Amino acid sequence: MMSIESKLGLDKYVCDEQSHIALDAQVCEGCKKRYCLTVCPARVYRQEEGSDAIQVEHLACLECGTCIAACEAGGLSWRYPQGGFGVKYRFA
Amino acid sequence: MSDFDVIVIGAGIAGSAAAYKLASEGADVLLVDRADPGSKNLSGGILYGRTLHDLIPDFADQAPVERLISRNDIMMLRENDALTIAYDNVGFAGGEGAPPNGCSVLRAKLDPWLAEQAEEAGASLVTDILVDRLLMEGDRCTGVVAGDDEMTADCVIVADGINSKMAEALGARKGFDIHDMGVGVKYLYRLDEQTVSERFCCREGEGVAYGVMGACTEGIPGGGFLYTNRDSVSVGLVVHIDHLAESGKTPYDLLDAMVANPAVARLLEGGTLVEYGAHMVAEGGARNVPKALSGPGWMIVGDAAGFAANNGFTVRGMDFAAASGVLAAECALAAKQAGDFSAASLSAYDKAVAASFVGRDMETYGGAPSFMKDGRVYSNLVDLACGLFECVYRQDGTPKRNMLAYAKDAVKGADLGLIETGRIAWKAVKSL
Repeated sequence: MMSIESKLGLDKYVCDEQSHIALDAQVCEGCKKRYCLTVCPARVYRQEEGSDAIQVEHLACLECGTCIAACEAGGLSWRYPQGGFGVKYRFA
Repeated sequence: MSDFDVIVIGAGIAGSAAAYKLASEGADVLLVDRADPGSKNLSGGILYGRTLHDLIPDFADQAPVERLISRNDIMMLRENDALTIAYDNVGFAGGEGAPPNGCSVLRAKLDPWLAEQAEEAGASLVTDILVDRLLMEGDRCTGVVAGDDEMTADCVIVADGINSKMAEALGARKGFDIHDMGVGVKYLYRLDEQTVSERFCCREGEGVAYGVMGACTEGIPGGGFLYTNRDSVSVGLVVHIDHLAESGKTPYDLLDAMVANPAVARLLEGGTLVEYGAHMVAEGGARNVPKALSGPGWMIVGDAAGFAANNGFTVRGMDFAAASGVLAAECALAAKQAGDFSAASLSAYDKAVAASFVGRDMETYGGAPSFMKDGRVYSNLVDLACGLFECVYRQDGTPKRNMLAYAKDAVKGADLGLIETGRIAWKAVKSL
């Protein structure tokens, strides 16, 4: 089976260097649930081994909003990418 | 004097249907989207219902739909066996003036076409522009702000999707309740047209929509789907986010397991995965819908208003989007005629929604989400049904018994009492 990264690689994106996702490191550090790490269909949120910090790979975002619904601690700020940027489905 | 009669934010199905209706009736409309229409939109997707057929002349002949869905199958999956119930209705393909019951669509084709129809009817389409905020005068919405540009209108129709920032800004919606939301993920496999037709036994131009339940969600409330397009197959899952989160599983691992299930894999064999996408689905029935769908100078339509219904057999949203878009447009046209865009005037939209199939279905399916969250529906009932058929068909040298005896065994094997099984079945009939 293909990795999630390869699947996302099939999709077309217009890369917005400016991230549309921001985490409040302090709030996220205190969050035990960390649902964002698994519910996100694009694996935007990752935790490096041996580190508590959550890394955000905003360029992979499919803009579905699942992380917004799943974040209960409130450390997530999510807005739409700038006009014309982000995922660009060719079929969907 | 406003720049436009109406500004529609979002050129998805709801927004473009609204803009088309408004422009066709002579209103001055701006349709604005943050990207090219269709490039951010993802559906399963079956477009049910007749709204767009009634709205746009020759929709069935002109619109880029994939296949007319004349067969709706239910596939109950276990790891090694599956029970499929096929409902085939020749009339569902429509024809001779009657619209099809549903058609499979790919949004990257349908949405640009629909936006173009709105444009040809006279709407101004602006793309790649993100609306940053609404222009407000007190509680009255008077237009939109995008970057340094301000555009004014007598009325704004909010059609910016499930993650509607504008509905939040208006105070109509307050974030999401994790318990009322589902996440849908989908793979699109390219298969040539003839293979799709032959493999799925489709009549010319027709196709099949599967609702899949059981093993595909690994005990997480939700279900799968598999839809035939002209020369591709859409396969996906919609699962409740709260249960998914607690399980620690990822949506793509679940979908990988589903497409590897032998009953599903045989349908996709030889196909090439060409796209992966995701979309959040409102699963709370009427709970997801704002109490007020309109206010002074604004109305909310489609996904932005939480209009979606998933009962396991069908996942619907596009039909609600189209219908709510048209209702909002009709209300805006009446308001324009009366020169009155006040809250009282636009509240006609709330009433129209409540009286239409949109409002009615949201109420009817109000009980479905909680019923569908009963994990037993997904594993035990599927287990029971597959188990019964396994008993009936398996020939292993032991003497056969009658159906009732097997049914009793199946109920026992499914770990549910007879009364409990009956209770779940009764709840299912009532709420689906």
